[in-house]
Amino acid sequence: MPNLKDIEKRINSVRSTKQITRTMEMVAAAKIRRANERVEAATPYADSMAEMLAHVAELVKGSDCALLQTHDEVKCTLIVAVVSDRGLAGGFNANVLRRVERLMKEKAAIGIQTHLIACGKKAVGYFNYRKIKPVLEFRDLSADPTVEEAASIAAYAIEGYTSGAIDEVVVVYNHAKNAAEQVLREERILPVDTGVLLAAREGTYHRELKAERDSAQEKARLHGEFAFEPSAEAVLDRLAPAYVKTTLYHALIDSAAGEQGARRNAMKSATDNATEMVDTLTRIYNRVRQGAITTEISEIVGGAAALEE
Amino acid sequence: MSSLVCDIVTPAEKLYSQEAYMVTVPGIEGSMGYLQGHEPLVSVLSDGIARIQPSSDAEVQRFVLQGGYVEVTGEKVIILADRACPVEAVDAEAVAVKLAALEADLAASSGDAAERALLATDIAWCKAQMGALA
Repeated sequence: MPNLKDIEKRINSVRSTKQITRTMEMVAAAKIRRANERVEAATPYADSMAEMLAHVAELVKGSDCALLQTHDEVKCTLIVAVVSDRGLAGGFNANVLRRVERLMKEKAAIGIQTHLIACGKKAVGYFNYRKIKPVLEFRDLSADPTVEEAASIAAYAIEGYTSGAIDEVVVVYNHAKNAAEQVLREERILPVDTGVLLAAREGTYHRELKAERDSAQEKARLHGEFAFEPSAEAVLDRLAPAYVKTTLYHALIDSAAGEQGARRNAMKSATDNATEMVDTLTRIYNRVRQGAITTEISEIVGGAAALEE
Repeated sequence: MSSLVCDIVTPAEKLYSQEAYMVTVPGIEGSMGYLQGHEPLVSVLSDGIARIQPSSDAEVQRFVLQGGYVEVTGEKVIILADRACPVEAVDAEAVAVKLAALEADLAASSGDAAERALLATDIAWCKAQMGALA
């Protein structure tokens, strides 16, 4: 039979763990809002950027902008793994990392070389342990990703892509679908696929906005399309890299929002489990205490009866 | 009175979204002003100041921009900028200090092209802000 004192100790330890997880849950909940606000603030830019690029690309069909062109043969893929700096967020990091590792194996199986960019301490640690050296590492930025971080990833990717060293760039991250749910996403950001852009534009547009836009476009057609300054090609050359950068930045802040959501969920279930465990332990504690008292009483009664005889 | 809707958007936030009578932007080939019904146009912008006049007799609002694009349809002007802020919000002293620090950093930094490029963009941004006040 377990000792009363031991059970008491366990109850206390579970209780203090519960306090910690509960606090972390509340901290994460507070951060979710901030992270979501940031995503919302960045969305108009990303949308307008995608729309503008789609416009331009549509007009400059078959352009020789390097970023829009698919390389004939894919020999080397750059994978950008976006995770967090801290753990205790459930499967948040593991999902991305496992997917990236599988992706790398798949590519290796068909003879494609892979390079890796690791964003977040967890990714750096995970791949170093597996003796995979990332070409670029970013730490301490996962909670507050900066435009500069996105810019340096984009610069590396674009330089590699234009020089022909990299034939494809894929980013793997968690999309914060809502505060409670994260969806693993794998997006190919280079080469820029304008077909997808156009489709996405049709798909995501709000109805009224689209109607308004359509009438504006109709007018634009009547006016003989858009004018470009300095020229359509030059605009495209500037817009395409900026688009890559924006997409990356968006992935980073999306993942930051997802991280807080995932952490809150994980901490919530940890708190719930702790509550349940305290209940169970308290029940055992009471039963043991009751048992001890019963034994004592029967001993006393037995002793008294022995004296009477 | 006929007017345009003007949006100024940066990666960090939607800075401005209001009706405007006239919008002037620093195009890469020179300053351009838009009124309602302007020919649809997409242009690259240079670093400089965008001026927005909410109505024909109202005071002009000025915004410093860095690295942007503008898309104009007849009724709407969308300015996308890497960085932007209202001219009134620029703190001349703080910017001067920052600029000096950045230039020192650039002089001290060795080799790494990516890092130098980032510093150079920061310096350009400081200079654009100083230029707006001058």
